Amino acid sequence: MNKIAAQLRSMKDHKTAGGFSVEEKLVAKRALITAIGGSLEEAQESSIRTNYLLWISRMFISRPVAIGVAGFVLAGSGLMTTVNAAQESLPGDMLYSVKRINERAQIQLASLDRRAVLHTEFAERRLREVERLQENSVTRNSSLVTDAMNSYTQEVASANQSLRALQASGNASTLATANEVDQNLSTLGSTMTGAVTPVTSAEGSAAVTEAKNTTQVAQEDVVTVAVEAHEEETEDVSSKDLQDMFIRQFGSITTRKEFDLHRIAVIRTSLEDHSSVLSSLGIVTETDLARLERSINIAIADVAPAMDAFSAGGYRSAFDTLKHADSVLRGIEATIAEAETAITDALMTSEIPVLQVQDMKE
Amino acid sequence: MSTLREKFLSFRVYRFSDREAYGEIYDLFADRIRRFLVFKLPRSEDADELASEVFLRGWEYMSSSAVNNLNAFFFRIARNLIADFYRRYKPTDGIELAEQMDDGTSVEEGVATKIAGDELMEMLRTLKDEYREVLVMRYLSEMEVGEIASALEKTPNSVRVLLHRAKKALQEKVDRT
Repeated sequence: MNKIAAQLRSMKDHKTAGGFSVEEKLVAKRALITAIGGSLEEAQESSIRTNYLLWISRMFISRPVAIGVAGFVLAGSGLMTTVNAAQESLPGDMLYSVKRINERAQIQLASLDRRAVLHTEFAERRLREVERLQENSVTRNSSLVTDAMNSYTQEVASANQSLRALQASGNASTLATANEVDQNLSTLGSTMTGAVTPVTSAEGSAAVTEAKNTTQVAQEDVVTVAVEAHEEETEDVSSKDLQDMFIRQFGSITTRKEFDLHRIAVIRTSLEDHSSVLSSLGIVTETDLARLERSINIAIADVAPAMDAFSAGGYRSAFDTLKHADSVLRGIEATIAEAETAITDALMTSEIPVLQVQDMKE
Repeated sequence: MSTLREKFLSFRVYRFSDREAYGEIYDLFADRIRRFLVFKLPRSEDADELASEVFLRGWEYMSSSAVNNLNAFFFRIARNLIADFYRRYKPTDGIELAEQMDDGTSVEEGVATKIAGDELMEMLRTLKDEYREVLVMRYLSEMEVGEIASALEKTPNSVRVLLHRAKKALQEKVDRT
């Protein structure tokens, strides 16, 4: 019978034995990768080997060492010392696992109305970690940044889920929690713009975009939860929380108006100062700038009735008006950003001194 | 059980929808899945089509859910697709056989190949399903007994017994010719 096994083994490359030839396999693999939205060439350029080594080192070196160190410190100095020692750790550090385990434990032990807030607080930690990783030239473009960014997105999404769970439980503190979560998400949105510098890898850049989108969706969802919770309330004690949220969003939109108008003014000045370089490129005309200014003013003028609607108790329509103005401003801001980038690039490639280009950036 | 590398690749696909990692998973499993399908389906074209479908479905699932045992996972998809295939299948024997023969090989080459290997493969095809499965996995795909057990969702011991019986059955067929 061993003879039959040997005969079968010797047949494994025979064409009737069902195996792929190298070419057939490559063609089939290319078709598969294309079908799932990628390309074989792109896949071959990325760095899975490095990621594998990092993963192995985390699984078999960092994590066991962290657990060992934690055990040692626990034995010697008690729980709080270990946890405190881990607080300042960053992804890739030995004690980072202790920090994350501690966070998971806090979530598990927290009451339902605290969980959503805790998730936003942990999301802020992830952002700070990204910021600190980017300050270091070794970790600036590593996959650790992408991982931390993805963890941030997860925390924000979890905050949303926890808030929904709180609402579904009929807890009386839903609105107050929504208010707190909204406040934290607003801070996160602005922190992300300031803290996270552009990421060079495609994976990292996708993670940042995903994080921004998730934050925006979460903010919209929180408002929905808040309004729904308020409508379900029979007493008027919840109005204060809703009012806080409204005022915060209203204020944010009017501040953005001033900021966007200032950006347009800077673009106008640059076009005048460097007309010799920029006028022939047709990046943006005075008419375009005037139209953008008009659109901003119209969007803000539309917001004014939201305040009246809110005062009259039309919370849903008031928030809808703010949401509409927000999306109009986002569109305008994208156009402004494109013009800024194009002008900066043009000035960089021309002979304008670097100092002046930096002024433009600022 | 998946190897460490398979766990890592599976994690990358689930966590980051990493297409490169899925490409590596494809490299690891494509051959054994295709062999499995070739011996279950009437034509190699059907096997190719279903093999692509196995890995497309695998991607859809793995990019949204964690998979612990890739081997068992892909074979389970393959078995389900084979069942679907035969539910829809309408045999057109004569035409199909003629199409299978017309693959560009000359008569002489065909005869030579048949003498060299086709006969054994044909005998293998006439074995009971479960015998054929284990022989293909063990000797053509060179899978370990543990891997076969996970793919067929049996215990390693029952796979060993099956292998023994399958080899005996095939040997008897060879002896009779």
